[in-house]
Amino acid sequence: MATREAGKKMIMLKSPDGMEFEVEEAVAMESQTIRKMIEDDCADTAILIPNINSKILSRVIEYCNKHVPTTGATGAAASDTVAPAALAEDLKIWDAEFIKVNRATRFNLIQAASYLNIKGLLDLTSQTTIDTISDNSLEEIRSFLSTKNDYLPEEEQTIRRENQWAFQ
Amino acid sequence: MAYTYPRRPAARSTAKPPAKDWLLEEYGHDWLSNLPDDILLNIVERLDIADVARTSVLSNRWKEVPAMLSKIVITVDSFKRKLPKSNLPCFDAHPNSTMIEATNSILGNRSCTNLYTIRLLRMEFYLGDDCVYIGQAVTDTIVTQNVGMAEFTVMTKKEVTQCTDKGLLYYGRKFMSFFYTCPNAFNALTGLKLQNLRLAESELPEIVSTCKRLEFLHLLNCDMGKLSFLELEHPQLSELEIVDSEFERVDLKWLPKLTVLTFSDWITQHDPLSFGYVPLLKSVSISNTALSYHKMLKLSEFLGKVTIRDLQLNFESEKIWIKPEAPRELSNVFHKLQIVSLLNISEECDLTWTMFILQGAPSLKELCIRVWDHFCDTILDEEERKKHSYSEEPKDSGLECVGSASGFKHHSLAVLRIFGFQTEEKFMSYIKSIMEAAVNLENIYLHNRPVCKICQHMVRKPSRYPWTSKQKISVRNKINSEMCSAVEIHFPK
Repeated sequence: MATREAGKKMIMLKSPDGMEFEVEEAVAMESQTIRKMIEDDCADTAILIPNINSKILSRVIEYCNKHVPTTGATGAAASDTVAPAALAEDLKIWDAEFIKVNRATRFNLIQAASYLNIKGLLDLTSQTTIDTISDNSLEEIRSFLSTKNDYLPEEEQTIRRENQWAFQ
Repeated sequence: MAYTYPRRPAARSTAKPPAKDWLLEEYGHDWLSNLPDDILLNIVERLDIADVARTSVLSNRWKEVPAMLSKIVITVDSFKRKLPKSNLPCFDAHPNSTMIEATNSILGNRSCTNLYTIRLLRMEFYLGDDCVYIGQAVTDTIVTQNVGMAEFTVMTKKEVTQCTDKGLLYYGRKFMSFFYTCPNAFNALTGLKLQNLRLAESELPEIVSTCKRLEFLHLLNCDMGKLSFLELEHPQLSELEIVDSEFERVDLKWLPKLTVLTFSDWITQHDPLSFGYVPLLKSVSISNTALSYHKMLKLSEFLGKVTIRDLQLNFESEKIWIKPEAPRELSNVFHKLQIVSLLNISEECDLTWTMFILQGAPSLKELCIRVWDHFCDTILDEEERKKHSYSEEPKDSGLECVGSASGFKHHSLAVLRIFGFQTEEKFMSYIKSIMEAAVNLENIYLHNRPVCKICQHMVRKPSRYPWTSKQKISVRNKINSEMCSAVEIHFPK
């Protein structure tokens, strides 16, 4: 297995469009899916990540790089001067910048986070959608999400009636 | 720091697709509706149940979603905020009414042939005659479908402090009639939270034994009469929380799976708990405001044969209610103890007594002390204190250490955490004595007083926490140079 950076274990990730990314094992293991592969010894050569193109995969790796917990000597020293709360605040700001992407990218990231099982990234990428739904009227949600209303008028009446309690 | 090495120049995000496609991607496509079921559900299950129901009006795709939910949480209070103020009286008369409609609509729409498992069904509602409808809907669902976890939180309209004895009895009768109407629902529960009930003798054990699958039980202000005895036996129960109870004693007679116990505020003058067969009990958390009639607990007698790993004791800024003991007395109960938290020790208390825990627990890895007068918990007025039987003795009286501390060495303690640290002799000498004993101590975390939003303006004396880096260095130097040690001292925010 490839090693770099003073003995740190490296893992090769391959996207279906043929790009290869070499990442630290600890970073790759932010994904529970990859963690499982590594723990089951299925990660000797490159791991092919299906359905996630290189553009999205590189963003996912960028996220994992930022969120991998710092450990060891440098980590301990850092926590002396930078409190955990401050680190968390810093991450929050970074996350807010990270998620400033167009809708296509966001939904691709949602799917990638879901497939790779990266909880933090899934939480982050779904939040905008959750806010959109809980803060807006149906018409607004439809327009924000480009959802086509394919009900017949009477069908919509029925389903609205059945869920009247939710509109009170 | 970690790095990424793309092997050849990656198609980076700067390489935008042609503008036209991008516009289509951005505005024309319904990304959300086209997600696979499991991902869509993952997002939808983060929504309030009313929002989920609203989205079913969006389109045919969304109509199917409520019946696929694997997590159904319906809480009566989530409907409260949506009602305009003018409707409040009407709402109060039937607090569960919208909740019942929601329950019937969400659970009723799942046909018997539904293949989707309900992983979690959590219902939170007020005790009343109309609970029966919720119980019935849940029973129907449980009988016909796959349900993993099922939880009831049964609340009363009055809060703990508003409940008179008569009120408790009334709620007790109401609850039992609800319980007897839908035993099948209780049969399937994995979690149950109850509050403000005074039940008849044997009713609480009956509830517990009917809920065969019960994994956690929370009782707030529930009992079977003042100073009654409760005996608990259950094959599955793993988490038990009893708060504000008026039991004389709770006997954990046979709870083979119990791992976590929380017990707060009792009125008995004796040991409030007795530990029977609880072989897996790892974590015990006990809080009390000790009044003049409360017994000072001897942990070796009180915990009996239990060998716990985490112990948390909260003194609620009043009198310390445990008695220091010699190491040999404690060795049975403390030999596996790894983490101890002693919380809300009044600021007027001395700290040296806590050394007895260190001496009695050879495997202890982390000791956490929180020194704090939390004014929300305390009564300051002398008359009021007398009236409520607060002790007139100093809060740290009767804490004479039993064992001799000189020459004592502890080899496991790695972390000392102090909340409410002040640059004062009391803390400095305490840290010094811990450092002298704990030869393998690695880290000391010194936190400021906790801040309570409600009582933060009521401070007895200004904080002497080291704020500036100069003050921090001075504290650090003082501790390390006196002790000639290299223990890392942190000042977390």
